[in-house]
Amino acid sequence: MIERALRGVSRAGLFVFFRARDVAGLENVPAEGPVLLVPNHTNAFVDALVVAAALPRRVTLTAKSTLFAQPVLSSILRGLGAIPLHRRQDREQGADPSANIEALVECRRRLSRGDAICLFPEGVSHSDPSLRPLRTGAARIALDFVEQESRTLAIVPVGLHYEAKERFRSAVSARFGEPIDVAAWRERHPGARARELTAEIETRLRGLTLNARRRRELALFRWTAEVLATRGLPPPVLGREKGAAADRAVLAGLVSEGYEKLESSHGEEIRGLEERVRRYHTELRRLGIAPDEVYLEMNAGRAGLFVIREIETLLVGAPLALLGTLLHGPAFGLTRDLVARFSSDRDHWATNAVGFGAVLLPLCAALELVLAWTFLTWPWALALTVLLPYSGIYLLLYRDRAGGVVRRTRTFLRLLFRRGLQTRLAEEGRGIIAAIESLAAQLPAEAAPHP
Amino acid sequence: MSSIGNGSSQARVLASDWVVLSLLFIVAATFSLRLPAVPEARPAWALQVQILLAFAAVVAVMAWRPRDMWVPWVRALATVFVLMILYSSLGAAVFAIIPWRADAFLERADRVLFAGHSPAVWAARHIGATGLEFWSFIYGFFVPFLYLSIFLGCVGRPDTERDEFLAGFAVTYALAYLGYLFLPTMGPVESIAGVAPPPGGPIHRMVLAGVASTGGNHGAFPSLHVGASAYLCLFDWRHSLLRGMTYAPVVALIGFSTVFLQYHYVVDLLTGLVIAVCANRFAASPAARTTAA
Repeated sequence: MIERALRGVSRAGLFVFFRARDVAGLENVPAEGPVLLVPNHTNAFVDALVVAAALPRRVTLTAKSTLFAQPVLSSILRGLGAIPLHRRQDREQGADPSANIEALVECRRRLSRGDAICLFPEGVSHSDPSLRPLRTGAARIALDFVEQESRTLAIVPVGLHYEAKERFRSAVSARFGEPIDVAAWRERHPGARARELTAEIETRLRGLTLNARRRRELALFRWTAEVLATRGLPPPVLGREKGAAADRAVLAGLVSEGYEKLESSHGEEIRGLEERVRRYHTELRRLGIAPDEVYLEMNAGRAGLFVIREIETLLVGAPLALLGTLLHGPAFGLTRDLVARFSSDRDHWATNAVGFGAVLLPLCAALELVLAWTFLTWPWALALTVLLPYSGIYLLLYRDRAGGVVRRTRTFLRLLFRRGLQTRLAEEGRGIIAAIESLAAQLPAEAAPHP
Repeated sequence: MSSIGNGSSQARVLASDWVVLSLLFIVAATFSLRLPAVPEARPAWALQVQILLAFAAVVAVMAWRPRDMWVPWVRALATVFVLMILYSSLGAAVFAIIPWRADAFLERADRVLFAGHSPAVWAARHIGATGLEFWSFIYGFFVPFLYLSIFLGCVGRPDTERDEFLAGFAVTYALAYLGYLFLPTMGPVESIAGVAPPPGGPIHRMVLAGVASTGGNHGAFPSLHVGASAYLCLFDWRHSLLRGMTYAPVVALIGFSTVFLQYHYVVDLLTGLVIAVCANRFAASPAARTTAA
């Protein structure tokens, strides 16, 4: 019961923090039976929550032992049934690696009863441009399980991509890759040990994540994916961007793969294209235009429809959004201040935001309800009870949409008076896409981006 | 994104066409059956038959030229136009051809729902002058909401979505009109003595004028104010969550307004809501988009 409630709260926390939560490849996760989920690790505890929230089945989380030393977090983690893992680098903070034997036994016990366990093979959350070398823990647990239990287990790699991991109302996408049937893998690789299985996991995980040598390169892949994701077409209607984050993540992965494969053979072309993408990105950024907005249709009919559709909703919804701001603004403000105060790096910003928010938002709401039922007549108190959660959710959606409307209107007006600029930018965007397609044609089919 | 007017619908006769044709046929057949007993209803009968024939002709032409650019525009206009004029054309005429009234039954149903109390009588006691103006404003807000939603439901959408929208919209109105036809009701305002509020401020007077212009109080069961607005809201909830969430509280207020202004029994609202849910489910089903080619 407590676990279910906490899961509900963490899902709500993710809903509040992330504007879009795209999930792909759910069909790769067995609906029942033992599963080890092995995601990349770039956003601390939020990574685990994203994986757990994406799946319809129950997921056992693992977390570094030091998190269990914090009173509030410890209660939440224990409530969620998380398993503590002791890392060598945390010895100074009280971690005891010998206690991992217990953790491994617990993992096996949970797998035996058919649970899914989320384990981060990189061992640490980071902001590196590439996957860190994987530890063998996941492979050892899997092989040990298969050996002891005489039944198979699936290892499912998970690629997590964040649009901007520390930014409120950004997007996240989770891609579940093809599972490794550990029993079958053992049969195909007789004599292979944890190291070989770890290498297999790493290969699969690399295929689902964005990997670069330097941050600069990583940014380049992301910009290129943004340009490719436009397909040279006008942007979708606001509020209908579902799947866009997952699409960009896939494209960025393909770009990185193509870059790696063609860099030596087509170095000059690649460098030219790189420069072109950088220039294009710099110009769009200077103008404050998103890559897909370059293709906005500049006709009166579309503009009129946009005005009617968006302004009408924003005007009619303004009182409800205002109510949401009054009711939830203080809790959001307090959460933001606390997160800014307690976040030492960008890896923990989202975790702290979700954590503080999960406590402060319901607390403030409860306080407001007590006040309402104390000082208002019952019809008003009842109305407020209904409107409290409703206006909170509404406020988030309204804020996102209002931001999109302002941005798109500004771009429209900017381009309306500089039609030459729009034509040039659109031509350049489509030119970049064509150049990438031409390069991609020289790759084997499975590695080629399909804009 | 495609919009209305690109004529890419694959089907010749869409679900919305069938729904409206079936409704018009039932209406015309009912009037025809009752004509020998009520000869003075001949002009109303003639009008219903003409509407049926005119719409059938439009559907036939659309089926003949399904890919023409004008087809989606004409379909949307014809469907909405026919469903809107039926409100007035059915209204008073139904009371002439159907020999029973459902008011007493609906009032009893309301009392059963509220443990022997009449919500209409309760609302009449509690409305007050300011309340009358407020609820009149909410009641009147239905009209711009309805027409704006119809416009946005038909324009600037992918073809399949527009077909869905029209199918659900047609089902909502068709089911409601069957209620109007077979359970003629005038609402508490006419049937319960002493609950009708006297003309109040300018907004209430505007509402009264609006009601009078559509033939007076008729067609109370089920509530189309709730049925249509709830359907529009549910449709938006699926396709544009923000707009759906924006109008959900408005729909609830519209429902309350019809009770406070004595136009509907609570049973009417509940039935309207059920119709909206059914219509929305139908709109989301493949049946709303596929038809006999």
